Amino acid sequence: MDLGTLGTPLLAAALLSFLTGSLLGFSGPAASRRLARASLLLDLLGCAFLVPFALGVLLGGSGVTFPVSLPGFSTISPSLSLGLGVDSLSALFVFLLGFVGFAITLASLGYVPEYVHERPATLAGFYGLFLLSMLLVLLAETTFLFLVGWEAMTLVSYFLVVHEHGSWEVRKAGLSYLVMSHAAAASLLAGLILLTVDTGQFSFVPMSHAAALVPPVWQDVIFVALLIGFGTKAGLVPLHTWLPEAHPSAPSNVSALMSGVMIKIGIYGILRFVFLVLGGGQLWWGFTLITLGAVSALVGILNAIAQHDLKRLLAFSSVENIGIIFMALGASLVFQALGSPVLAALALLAGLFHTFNHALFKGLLFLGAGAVVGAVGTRNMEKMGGLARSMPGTAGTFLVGAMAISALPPFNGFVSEWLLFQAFFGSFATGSLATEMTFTATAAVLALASGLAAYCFVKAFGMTFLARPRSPEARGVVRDAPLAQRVGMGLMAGTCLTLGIIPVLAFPLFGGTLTELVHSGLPSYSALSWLGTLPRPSPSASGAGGTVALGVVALVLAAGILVAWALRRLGAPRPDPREAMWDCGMESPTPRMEYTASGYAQPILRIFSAYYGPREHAETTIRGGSRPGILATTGHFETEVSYPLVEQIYSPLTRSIVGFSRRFSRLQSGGIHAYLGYMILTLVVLLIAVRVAGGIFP
Amino acid sequence: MITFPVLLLEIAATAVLLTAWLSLVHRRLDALVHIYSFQSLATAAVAFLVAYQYDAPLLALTGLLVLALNVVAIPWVLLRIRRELSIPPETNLFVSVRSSALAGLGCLLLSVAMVGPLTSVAEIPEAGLLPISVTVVLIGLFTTVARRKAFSQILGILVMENGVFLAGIALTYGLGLLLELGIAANLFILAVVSRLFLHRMKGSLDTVDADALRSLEG
Repeated sequence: MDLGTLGTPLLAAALLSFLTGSLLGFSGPAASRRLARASLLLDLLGCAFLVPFALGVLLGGSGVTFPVSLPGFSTISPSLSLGLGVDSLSALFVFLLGFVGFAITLASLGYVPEYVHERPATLAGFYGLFLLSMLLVLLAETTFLFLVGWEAMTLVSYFLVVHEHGSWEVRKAGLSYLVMSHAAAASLLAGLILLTVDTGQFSFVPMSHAAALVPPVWQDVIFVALLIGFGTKAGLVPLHTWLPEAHPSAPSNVSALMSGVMIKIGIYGILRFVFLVLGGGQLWWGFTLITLGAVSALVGILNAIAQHDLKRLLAFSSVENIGIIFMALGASLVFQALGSPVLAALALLAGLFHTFNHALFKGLLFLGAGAVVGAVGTRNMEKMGGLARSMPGTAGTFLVGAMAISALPPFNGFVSEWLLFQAFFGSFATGSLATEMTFTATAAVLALASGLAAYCFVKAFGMTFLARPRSPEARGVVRDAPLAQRVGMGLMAGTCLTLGIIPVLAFPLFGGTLTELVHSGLPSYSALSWLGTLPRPSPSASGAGGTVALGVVALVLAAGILVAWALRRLGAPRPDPREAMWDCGMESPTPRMEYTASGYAQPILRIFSAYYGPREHAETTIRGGSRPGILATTGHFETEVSYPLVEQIYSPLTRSIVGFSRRFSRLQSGGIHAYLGYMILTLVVLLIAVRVAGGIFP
Repeated sequence: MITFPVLLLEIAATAVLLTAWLSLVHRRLDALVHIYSFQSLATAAVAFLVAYQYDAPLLALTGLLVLALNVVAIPWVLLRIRRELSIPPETNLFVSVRSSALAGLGCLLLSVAMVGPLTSVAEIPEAGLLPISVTVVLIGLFTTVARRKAFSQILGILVMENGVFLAGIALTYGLGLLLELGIAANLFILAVVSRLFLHRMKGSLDTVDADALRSLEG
């Protein structure tokens, strides 16, 4: 595709669609469902324009930055060019935004009119602005525009989070999000200002050329500042606290977009500035990312298991996945610093692919959760159950998402985590003992996190969809999610499966980015060779060492399944093994006898009690009857888990800030004379200070 | 050798300073409005004299503006407000008259000490006006703090503006006609808006004591 002729109109059409879509949402009565639908349709169109645009850059160009000229966007002043541009990296994320955005918007067309009861048109308006602001961040070619887009994205998503602001919890979540985002933005601003001042450049490309001249100490400072800024947005532990509050509070299609796309923009920021502009930096940068990523993965998944709120569980699982992505990015930085570009490319490929995959299945899962929560009317999994029968479409796609996020083959989650394992084991080729040990430990953490994730999603799927309804509300569900939503989720589920079976389809998308970021192209993979061990960096070994072996294993497995199936079909028909269930001598099993979410999570809570510090409350009433003291009439069991990070770091921090503010609030007497008095005091002090300092007037 | 216009200029500038100080020691609102009117007259005189001396016709135009607005129109509006709302003739004090008078002297000392040295180094046309104008600004600001009535706070702001205008003349032969026009328009709007504001305040709080605004606090 010739981008020069087609790219710019496509992009302009997308921007225009988002803009008119959001304006349309705000233009009429907020309660209008028709307006919401029309607005979302325009957003859908915009996403549809983005996909070919991004593909054109990714498959046509090769890591070249070229400014996109749009009328009015060209240049405001020569020193501060307000430029939009696109290169492989941004095109990759634009593709993510376009593709995942398309599926989520399609689902929103069903979700918003069906489940959003408050001001659907307003929601649609902000939704379009949200897409637009994310696009702006990705296309920004200067620090100035980047920051403008970044702040717009934060503010718009804040309004989306507090959409149902009638509830106190939602407002609290919004506040937490806003405060964390502002602190992060301050750090980001500091980092970018330092970078701009030290390099003397606003535009990213010349900035990356000049970045080598920045003194190493300042590079380190900039790295830390940027890591805080982007890490908060991405949801990296310990900066993630806003995420499990904000994501569940937002309407579910927004949670899908936030978890699927917005937190990935934090990843984009790291890639853009740490990898590309700063050129990867020192060894400890990579190790920092790996450590934080490993901690995030564990903290995220352990907290996810303890949740009974379906959407909160999914939010914590996002923290885990962001951790995995950060582990991959860190590994890539380490390999780059150690001079193994091939391994660096492999790790980065794993990270990018996982970014993409997580966007797909987490978007899918949040949409599924949205349908369930909308139908049952609660987010508490203990009140769900049995929904597979009443909502088969939602259950099926949710299952695909749950399996994909648990890294089970043949879904895409498995591929990216497998690639990451390969990269970790590849560290043995670097010949550095410290590195090898770190990566071995990291691989163990990744394995543990993956296992726990599977555990967690058995709970999420099982408690929600299987067995019998645990509450009258769940029993009352009669309708599946609306068609558009099921189609949107089906699109994502299908992509998860396709990319799980033939991941090489997607690999070419990452090629340009790999070359741009770590100066090593895509490992040459054929249809199956990604299953094999990694391509060795030494020239003597062949590119695909264990490919054949693994391919053979896969073939044998497939053949075995085929044979078993054939034997069963051809063999004698066996009697139907289904029998009535043993009911413990009761009249009939009731939903009260089902495995509960708390009960299911119990073993893990006990095993990791050092982390959770679980406090268990059990309570049984035994009332006398004909045979007193044998049958319990009521029983109640509850486990409270602590949230160490929040209780030990954030709560004292919040308390001290609030205390400090209280002390200052005494200045706010409310009397106008006091304020005027402050003014005169300031003026006098300034006058004296200027004189005494004498710097200005000799 | 002091020429006649320069002598007149010094007298006018001193008049501005003295009227500012007078506005601190008087309590009767009508008298305060008249003092303000007289101060504006002195300010306009300064503008005319500087305009004459440096041949700056635009500055003279600004002086006319001051004459029309600050000397005539605004005092007229203020006096009308006082009658309409039947505001008690005397203002209430946060700071006693005696202390206010001392504070006024303090303002003068402060600005002479802080801004005075500036006049000897910088090339400023009428450098002598600068400490005076800063004093007037400070006194105006002090009035807003030291007096309870919203009415006298408005007067304080008006006095401040005269000080700012004087500083403009001292530094730049006038800030430029357009800017002055804007400021003058603002002042007049201030007078009109404050009239509305005081009406509302009287209506809802039954007083024009600015301290009563405290009761609106949430």
